[in-house]
Amino acid sequence: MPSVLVIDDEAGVRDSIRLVLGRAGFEVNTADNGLTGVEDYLRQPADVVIVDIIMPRSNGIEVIKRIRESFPGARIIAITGGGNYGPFGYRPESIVTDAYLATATRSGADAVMTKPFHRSELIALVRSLVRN
Amino acid sequence: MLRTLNTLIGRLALLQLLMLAIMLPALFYTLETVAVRTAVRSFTQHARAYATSLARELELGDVLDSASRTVEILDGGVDCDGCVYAAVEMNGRLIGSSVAETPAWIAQRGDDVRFDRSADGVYAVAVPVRREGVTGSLYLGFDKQATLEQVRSTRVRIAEALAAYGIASIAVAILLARVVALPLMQLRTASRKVAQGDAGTQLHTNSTMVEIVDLSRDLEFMRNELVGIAERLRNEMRQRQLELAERAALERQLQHEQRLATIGTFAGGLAHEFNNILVPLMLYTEESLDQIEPTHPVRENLARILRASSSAASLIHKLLAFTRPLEERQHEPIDVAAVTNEALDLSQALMPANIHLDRQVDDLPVRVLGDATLFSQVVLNLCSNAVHAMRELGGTLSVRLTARDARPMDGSQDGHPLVELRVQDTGGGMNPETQERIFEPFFTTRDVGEGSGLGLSIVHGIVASMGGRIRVASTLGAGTEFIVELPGMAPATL
Repeated sequence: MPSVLVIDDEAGVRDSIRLVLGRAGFEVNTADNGLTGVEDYLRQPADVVIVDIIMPRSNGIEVIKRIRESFPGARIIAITGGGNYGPFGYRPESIVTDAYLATATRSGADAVMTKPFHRSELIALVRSLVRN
Repeated sequence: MLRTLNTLIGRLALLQLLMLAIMLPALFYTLETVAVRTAVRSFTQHARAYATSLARELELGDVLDSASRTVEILDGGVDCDGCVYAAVEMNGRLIGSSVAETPAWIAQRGDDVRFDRSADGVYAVAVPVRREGVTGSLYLGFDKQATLEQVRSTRVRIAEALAAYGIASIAVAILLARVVALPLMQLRTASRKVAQGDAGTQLHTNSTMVEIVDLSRDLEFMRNELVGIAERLRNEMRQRQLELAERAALERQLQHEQRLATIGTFAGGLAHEFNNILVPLMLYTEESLDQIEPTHPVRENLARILRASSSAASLIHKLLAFTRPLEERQHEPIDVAAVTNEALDLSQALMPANIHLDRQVDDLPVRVLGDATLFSQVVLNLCSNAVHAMRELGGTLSVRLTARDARPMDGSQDGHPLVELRVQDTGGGMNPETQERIFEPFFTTRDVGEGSGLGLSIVHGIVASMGGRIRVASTLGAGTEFIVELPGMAPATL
């Protein structure tokens, strides 16, 4: 069974993704912050990592970089709700969704998704990454 | 009275009067003394010479021996030159003239010596007469009336002459004062006009007096200087007020921008939270839809929840456009005239028949850095608002696109052209409170369901991302105008 690690500080996001992907036939583990997320992944690498970019403590960009360092072949999906919470904390000048996603791609994400997304989009993306 | 005395004429007349008060008595005294002395001396000398010659005549031969001849000579003496009596005393015998009465006091009185000694109008003269060693006296009396009369009339004439002189000199003083005062009064009248604000009045007099001419020239020079200074001060003040007003407007604009930025920040944060909330909402709903039977009665409700979530997602996406920063979009030189015309074509196609479009879009040689799609959205949005404002009564929608040189004050770089888009409607206009908040997200005056209140905040965001600014000018009942200013690219950088 392909495994997915979901790293997001929002419980609602984590749980709903876990439900959807779990029912779609994936083994889903979650982490509520970047630090434990990276630890979890290094201990037991998942097939696909879904990581939120804007998180307190260790943000998504750092998570992607650290995973890439150890596992250049890891498959990573970056997700974000946009707004003006930058990858390095609160950004009053308000960087928005597209910019986050561009940053995520540059830092090594295989795919990006903006919140909110449809169930079908999510499943299709994860499946395509697992297949490759 | 005091005021009259304090005038130039009053002062000069008073001075002249004082001078006359001192001079005239002195003059009168001197002149009178000389005249009186001359008259008196002439009278007395003549009387004495006459008496002496009569005495000599009596001493000749034996005249004194004969009483009749003596009387004859005395009679001859009395006859002329105001002689009123004549008598000779010789050896105690007194012989008087026969034609005049000889007063009894003649011998006692003797000689008056001084003209004014007696008060009876007679000047008594006594001269010695000698005959063979015996000395007698000839007594003559002269009438002083004529001389006194002459003295009196001389006095009157002197007084008259001095009075005439006094009057004439006062008249001359007044005349002189007027000659001096008149040009001064002209200058005063002119300077009062200047003081009352008629700065153009020339300080000029017709006088030919050097001092007055010099004074008026100096005053005129001073007036010119003052007028120049006043004009400069007025200009500076006007300039200052303009600058202050401009600065106040800029400050207001800045505050407005800051407030919008704050709202943008807030809206951005809110959008992030909402998106996070929408993820489980949509995923759980879709999951539930996937699990339940196609005929299950709850299915329709779940579909509604999903549609509402999608609307929320779309709304948040729009809100984020407001906070869209400059670097996010690909900016390239765009032909604003072409984009504006395309947007207007589209707008016109959707316009109700009661609205007339007045389009003045210059074919601009300058380009503006930006995103053509977004700028098109600006034009469409402004037009749609204008049309909405005129939807009931109809009207004219004027759209003008021009380019002009940027002023250094407005923040854009020197020498760069400024592209100006004006979208004006003839709708109901809006009050200052509405104008103040018009660019805020979610601010709308429309009824619920008619608009999100995001249109103008998105326009503002787009214009700001292009380095431009947007202003609104509106009059209640007359209409509204939105003015978009965008920095054009200098021709050299094209």
